Parts: sequence; structure tokens; C-alpha cells
Amino acid sequence: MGTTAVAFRDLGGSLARLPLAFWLAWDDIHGKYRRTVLGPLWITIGQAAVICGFAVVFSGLFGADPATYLLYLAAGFPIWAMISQYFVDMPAAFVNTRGMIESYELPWLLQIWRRALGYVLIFVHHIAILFVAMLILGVQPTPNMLLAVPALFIVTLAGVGFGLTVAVLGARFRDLQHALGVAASFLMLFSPVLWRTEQLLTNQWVYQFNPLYYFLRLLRDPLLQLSTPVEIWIGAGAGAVALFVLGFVTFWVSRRNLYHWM
Amino acid sequence: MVGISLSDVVVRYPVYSSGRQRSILSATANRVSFGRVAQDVGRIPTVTALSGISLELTEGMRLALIGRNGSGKTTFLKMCAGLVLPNEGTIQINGTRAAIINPSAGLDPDKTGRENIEYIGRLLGVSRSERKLLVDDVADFTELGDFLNFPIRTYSSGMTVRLMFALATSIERDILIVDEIIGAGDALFMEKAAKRVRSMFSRAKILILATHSGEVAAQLCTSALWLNSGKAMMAGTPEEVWDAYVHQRPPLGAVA
Repeated sequence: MGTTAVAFRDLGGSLARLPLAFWLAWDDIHGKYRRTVLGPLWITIGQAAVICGFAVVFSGLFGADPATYLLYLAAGFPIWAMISQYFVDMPAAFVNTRGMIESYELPWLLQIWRRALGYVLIFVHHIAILFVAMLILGVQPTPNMLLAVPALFIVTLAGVGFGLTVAVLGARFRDLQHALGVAASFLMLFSPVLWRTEQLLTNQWVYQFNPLYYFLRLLRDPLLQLSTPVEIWIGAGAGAVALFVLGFVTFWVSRRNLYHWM
Repeated sequence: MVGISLSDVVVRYPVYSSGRQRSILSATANRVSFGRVAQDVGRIPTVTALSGISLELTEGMRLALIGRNGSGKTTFLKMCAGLVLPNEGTIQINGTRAAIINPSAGLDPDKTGRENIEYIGRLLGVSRSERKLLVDDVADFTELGDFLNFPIRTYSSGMTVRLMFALATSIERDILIVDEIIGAGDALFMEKAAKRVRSMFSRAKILILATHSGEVAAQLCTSALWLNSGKAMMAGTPEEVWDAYVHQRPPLGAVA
């Protein structure tokens, strides 16, 4: 068995076990809130507090309508929280699960799907706030919002590709996780999460040349009942496929050394 | 057909001695300066853990790995478990595997013994109804009693080994890979483990066991392999290999 056979068998085996990855992700979240009364509801509460806090201060700061700004944040914040996990948490995906990889005959890529699906689950907990806010403000949901589902798929596919790359490199280079953590906080400032693109009067390049902006918009536009330009759908989709291929090739090429790096 | 086939296997791995060698900043500095900056980063030493090993393991074989610390036993086990891939030569593994290499690594310390069994059962694709039987079987074998309802972090190392061993042997797998842990258990557990492994082998499987005890090798295994600095010194019955090993006397015409 060469590295190629091992890598492709891993990919196939892990995709066949996606339900298991989902269950593991679910168990991870429950494990984290094991000793609490409210359980995973803490995720929603924590996010709601942050969003309301920002909505109050920033709508005043920008002179924006608090209701629209609240919806803008309630849609954007959860997406950013999910994207930043790929920078902050994914580099440790293989290192932190070495014990499980060593002990059980499971595809290694399962550890990547498990984390990515966990981010999706947390996103679902977070995005509930948007729907509560819509209910309170009397905003009717529209069918156009359903486009968020394929958008979430594209964002996750891109994230998995990126995440797999950094999980492999993060095993080899232990400072990568810290470097990406710093990068993530910078990129948050450079992405229109707290601010709107039309409020930025100069230095528009910070979002125009920022790939995360397009993934953010892809998922946020439908949630805000806006329509996304077709170019963004095509660009983000192609980018997601390219990232996935990059991730898999990185894993494939590094599979032989990956265990020694962990 | 269950089996493991190794031919001229060589395994090398990198050894990182300084933190700098694990830094992406140093690696980048080294690259962009064409190797002038952070020179140690450009030269990472490798260790040859196994070299030129050829071996054929077929159904019903129980192999003991014997050798001093650092002789390549664990690397050999990790290769048979599919974790380590050879740099040269080929390995063919046919069959499902269970490996006990680092007993506590696969357990969640915050979950109770029972929850861990359920979790691992689920991980390995055991159905809901079978998981009930699995818990009973493991509880019965480990004699952990009320401890099964306590988090694993309260267990002694012997108890953890018992739990892992019971789990690995309860879920039917073709190939069982065990690092030097059985010797660490108490005498009663040893006897029980030996019995269980023998009953497992009535269903014709493969066992690979690393051990520092000639007694364990003779009790559990049908053949033995003596490794020294990654090379095969001698293969034969556990008794003769152990005898040669303790007297450090490779037979004439030994593989090495």
C-alpha cells in the first residue's frame, strides 16, 4: 500500500462515515457543556449577549438604525465565528486527536469532518438569534433565505479544504496555530462584520482583496434577504473546490510524515 | 484472507530536537535566505527505526516482538496498525485491526468507564443492541464494578489497561496489536488476559505483541522476532528466540 492508496482510501472511508463524524461533533459540544445546567444553550446565550452589546454601541457610533444593524450583526457574527474557527481551532485537528487516531482504526480525515460539522452545529445555535430578532422586529422570512443552505455548504467545503491544509501544516509547525490566530483577528477587522462596506470611504482594498469577504457575503446576503451577484457564487464555489483539492493533496503528500509530526 | 506481509521494509522518521525546527517562521526564514538563516532548520536528522524487515504473518499466528528499548518494536507495531507507512519496501495489511499502543490515549478522562465503552463501541460501528452486550462483557472481564460509573481520570494505570484490553478484545477484530502493557498488569490479570487471548484465537486471528517477558511471549505467542537497532536478529519459536536474546547470542546464519 503506497501513500496514494492510503490517502484515497482514507477519503472514501471518512466520507462513508459522515454520520459518525456528525455524532462525534454533537458529542464534542455536549461534552463541553457536560457539567452545566443549560448545556449547549450557553452557546446561543453567549452570542446573543455579544450581538446585543455591539448593536447598542455600534449603531450609536455609526448613526445607524438599531434594528437593521441588529439583524446585520445577528447574521454576520455567527458566520465570522464559524470562519475564525478554521484559523484558530483547525491547525490542532490532528495534533489533538492523536490518541484517537492511534487507538482506533478510523479514517484520519474523519477528524477534519468532525470539527467542521461541529462548527456548523455551533453556527446553527448562533443563527437562532437572527430568527428571534426577526420575530421580535416583525420581519417576515422569505424563500430567498433558503439560499443560505447551499451557501453554507460552499463555505464549509472551502473551510474543510483550508482546514485540512492547516491541520497538516499545524502538526509539522507548532507555531502555525498562533500565527493563524493573529491573522484571524486581523482579518476580522478587514472584513465587513461589524461595519458595512458603504461606510468605508477609503482603503476599500481591505475587503475587495480579502477572499473571506466573498465567503462572508455569500452566506450573509441570503440571511439578510439580499441577492448575491452570480459572480460571487461562481467565484466562491470555484475557490471552495480549489481549496478542497489543495487540502487533500497536502494530506496525500504528507501522509507518510504526518504521524511522526503529531 | 487475513494477513500482514512485509517485504524489505525501511522506516525512517524525523527527529526534531529544538523548538525552532518546528517553527514555520524559522522554516520560512531558512527558505527565503537560501539556507543561510536558521541553518539547523534546514537539516533535520532522521532516525532509521526499522531496516530491511521482511515477514509474512498469516491467520492464526501470534508473534512476540522481543528487543531492547529503542530496538524498533513500537515502530513495528505502529506500522502493522497502519499508522506509520514505510519509506522503502512494501506492507500489505488485510483485516480489521485493534491496537493497544498507548492505553489511555483513546479514552476520554472526563467520561465514566461505561460512557467510554459506549462511545468507543459507537466509534467502531457497534450497533445499539450489541453495545449493551459490550458493556456487560467489558464489566465482567475488567471486574471494575462501581468504578465503571466513575470518570476514567480516577482510574489507576492498571485499571485503564484492563479497560482498554477488554475493549480491544471484545469488539471482534482480525488483527490485535499490543505494546508492552500486559506485563504491567498484576499476576491475576495476566492469567485472565492470556485466557482471553487464547479464546480469541480459537477464531483464527493474528496477534502481534511487544514484550519484555519471556514468560508472556511463551504463554501467548506461537513465534517470536528479535529486533535489534531496527534489524531482525532472529525469528523462531518464543522459547528459542528468548533464550538467544537473553544470552545476546544470534544463531549462526542469522538474518542480521
